[in-house]
This record gives sequence, structure tokens and C-alpha cells, in this order.
Amino acid sequence: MDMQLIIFVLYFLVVFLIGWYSMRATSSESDYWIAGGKLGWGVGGATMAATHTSAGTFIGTIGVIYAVGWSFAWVLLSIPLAYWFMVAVLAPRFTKVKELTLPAFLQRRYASKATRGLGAFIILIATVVYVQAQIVAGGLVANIVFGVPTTTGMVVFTLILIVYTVLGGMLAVAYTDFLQMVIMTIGTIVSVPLAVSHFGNFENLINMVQVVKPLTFQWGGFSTSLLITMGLAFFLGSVATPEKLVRLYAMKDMRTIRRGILLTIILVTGINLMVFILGLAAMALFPVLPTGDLAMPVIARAVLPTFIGTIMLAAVTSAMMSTVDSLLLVAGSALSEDIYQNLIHTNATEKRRLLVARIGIVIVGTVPLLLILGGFAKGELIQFIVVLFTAIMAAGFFTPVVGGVLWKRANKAGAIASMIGGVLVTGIWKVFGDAEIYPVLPGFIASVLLFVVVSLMTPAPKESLWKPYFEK
Amino acid sequence: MPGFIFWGLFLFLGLILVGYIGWMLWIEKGK
Repeated sequence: MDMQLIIFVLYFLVVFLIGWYSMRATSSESDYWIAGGKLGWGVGGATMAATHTSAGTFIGTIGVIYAVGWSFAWVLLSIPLAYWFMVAVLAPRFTKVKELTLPAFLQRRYASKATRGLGAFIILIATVVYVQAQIVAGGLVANIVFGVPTTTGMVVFTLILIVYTVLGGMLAVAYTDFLQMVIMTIGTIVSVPLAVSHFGNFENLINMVQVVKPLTFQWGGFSTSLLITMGLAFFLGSVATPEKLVRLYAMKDMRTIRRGILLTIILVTGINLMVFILGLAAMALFPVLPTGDLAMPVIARAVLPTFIGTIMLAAVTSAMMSTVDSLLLVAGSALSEDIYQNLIHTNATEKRRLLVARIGIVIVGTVPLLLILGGFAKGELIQFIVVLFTAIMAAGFFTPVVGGVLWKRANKAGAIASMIGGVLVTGIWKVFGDAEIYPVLPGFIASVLLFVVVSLMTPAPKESLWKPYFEK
Repeated sequence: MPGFIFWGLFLFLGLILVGYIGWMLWIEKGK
């Protein structure tokens, strides 16, 4: 217990130091939102990977493997392909004109404040609720590790996150993400051999899984249509969510992005594969857990020595924090940069804009916490939106962003129709549609159709709008 | 040991990785 406390206190101390150092290095809005566009490939790639890897990877993904078997693991193929698409097709054009936020890109490309406001609104609603769920998870980890009440855990967890993000902006988030990625990597690299050695060797583990759950290595454990549509959701979500796209602005140049994303691909697929193998170990050791979500905690407790188990829990905490800090930054920028500075108070000084930026982060960080403490939107609604989060972001942003830099004819009306239509159809399908098809597929089809049809029905955009993205 | 359903995934992931690195080197050599 004491050792666990020391490890966590040390970890939080380092995180605060990074926040403090980053604040001193931040003097402009560009520094605050995109680290001045100066990140190298190491930190850039690691922050992308850390943002991608959430508590969901360590709790949810391992849980699905535990429940349905190895066929689900094939969804993983969509992730490296998505990042490759992002670097090869999207990034070279998307980063031609550097912005501070994704909605700012929408405003420039479509000459429309409405697209920017709409984009910011979608980001705000989706992230605030998503952050809420992560805070609840943070409270649970604190409860397991320190035995403190869940509420205390949630408050402490949120305050730590808010403090370093408010102080240092993207720079603090990128460097803490780097640290958190190192912890996640160490946690998984150390745990997997230990878990496997519990069975003697890897082959024994596999044989044992086949004895205990013979269907694990059969196709069809997971419905193929769901597998393919979830793969599409992972693909679209990896390419087009705002917290990923701003990281393209934060990295120095295309050469840096290509190297950084190679690192991201290696880290994300590597960590996922190792987590899948932990899922197999959980199957062999505990074939009848009430829910797959318990697979990681029981493995950490049963197979790993206390010290390594603590590192593993620190890794889960890191996965959570590195995703939430990036979302806070994106939601904060949507509130203060895209909505307040752009629509309400348009001619503030640099110093005032930085202040407003920081206030924005405080608001988007505390609102979810207050909602939880006040008992609002607990349980089902949160779970509902968490499942939908990536789908909504992907259905809302993929088409206007990718279409905007690939298709000269795309215009404002098409972009707005595609964002609203994509999000609505995704939500409606989730409630009324066929559960065998993940809602992002119909949402994505609707967004593409509306984008194309509405753009063609309305006047073509001025050349000056699309030209910057098409220059060699 | 399980067959393609297990090792096939590693094979494809490996191919994608090799493909990406090859593409990256090819792009940068051309510039």
C-alpha cells in the first residue's frame, strides 16, 4: 500500500513539474493550443498514441476479447491502415494552412462561421459527457489503489488533470502523454511475459484457452457485419477526430508527421496485441467472470507481483489521463477559441485570449465533475454517449475534413448538411436501427451522400477557398 | 496451436508495417 502511494505521488509530482515547465514555455495562443507547431516525431507520435489509447483499451477491449474470442482482434487491422491514410492522403493537404483548432479549418475552407460554431458545438457536447465517464473510471481506480472513497478519487483525479492542462496547454499535454505512454509501454511489456510464464510457455497458454473455451479461435465468435462496421468506425475515428487532427498541426512538418505516425502505429498496435494476450490469460485462468471488464483487474491481482500490478494500474490511469487531457484541450479550444473569441468577443489582446483559453479548460473540466457530483446524467445516458462518442465524431467530421481537401467543389451547404446529417443518423440508428450494424456505417453513408448532393445542388465555392489545399 | 485466425493477424499487421516503412522511405527518396 505504501509503495503504491509513493509510486502514484511521484508520478503526479512529475506531471505537475511538466505542467509548470510548459507554462513557462508558453507565451502565445499558438503555443497553448498546438505547442507552437514545433513538436518533434518522438513526442508527437507518442502523444498521438497516448491519446488513442484510453482506459477503454485496458478495460473494454480486453473485456471484448475475453467475451467473444480472437476474431474481434482483427478489428485492429483498421488502425494502422487509418493512420497510413491520414499521413499519406489527408495530412499533406490538411496541414498546408496551419490553424489552432479543427473548427477553424472548417471556417477557412468553407468561409462560414456557422460550420465552425457547429463543429465546436458537436465537440463540446460529445467530449463533456465522454470526460464524465472517464472521471467515474478514475474514481474507481483511486478506490481500488488507495481505498479512498470513489468521490474523493474523482475530485482529486479531475483537479490534477485540470491543473496541468490549464497551466501548460498542448505542450504540457504532449509531454505528460509521452510520460504516460512510457508507463503504459513498460506496464504491458513487463506484465505479458509474467502472465505467460504463469503457464510455462505461450503454447501452453493457447492450449489451455482452447480447452477452456474451444470457440475462442473460431471465426464467427463475433458477427462479421459487426466486425467490419466496427473496423470502419475505428478507421474513421482514428483519422478524423479533432483531438487527433490538431496533433497534425502541432507537429513540425510532413517529415516529422511521417516518422511520428510510424511510432504511433507501432505503439498502438503493440499495446493492443499485448492487451489481447492478457485477455487470453484471463480466459484460461478465470473462465467464468461475470463481465469481461473484470479481466484486467483480476489478472493484475492474481498473476502480477504487487509492484508490477501497481505499474499496471498506473498504466491504466495513464491511459485515462492522456486521453482526457487531450479531450479537455480540444473542448476548451472549442469553447474559448471557436465560440467565444470567434463569435462573441472577436478583438481581444493576445494576453486576454490566453486567459480566456485557460478559463475555457477550467469550465470544460469542472462541468462534467459537477454534473456527476450533482447526480446528473449518471449511468445509462453516459454509457450511451461513450459508446457513441467515436461514431459521432467520425460521422460529424470525417467527410467535411477529408472531402474538403480532396474535392474542390465541396461547399458550405454540403459541409453543414453532412455534419448534421451524419450525427443525427448515427444517433437515430443507435436507438432504432439494427444492432448487427455499428451505427457509424449508416451515419457515414448519410454524411457522404448529403455532402455530395447538397454541394452539387448549391453554387460552387470561390477558388480562393480550396486553392491553398491543392497547391503542390 | 490455432491456425490462420491467430497468426494471420500478425502476418497482416507485419505486412502493413513493412509497407508503411517502405512507402515512407520511397517518398523521402523521391524528394
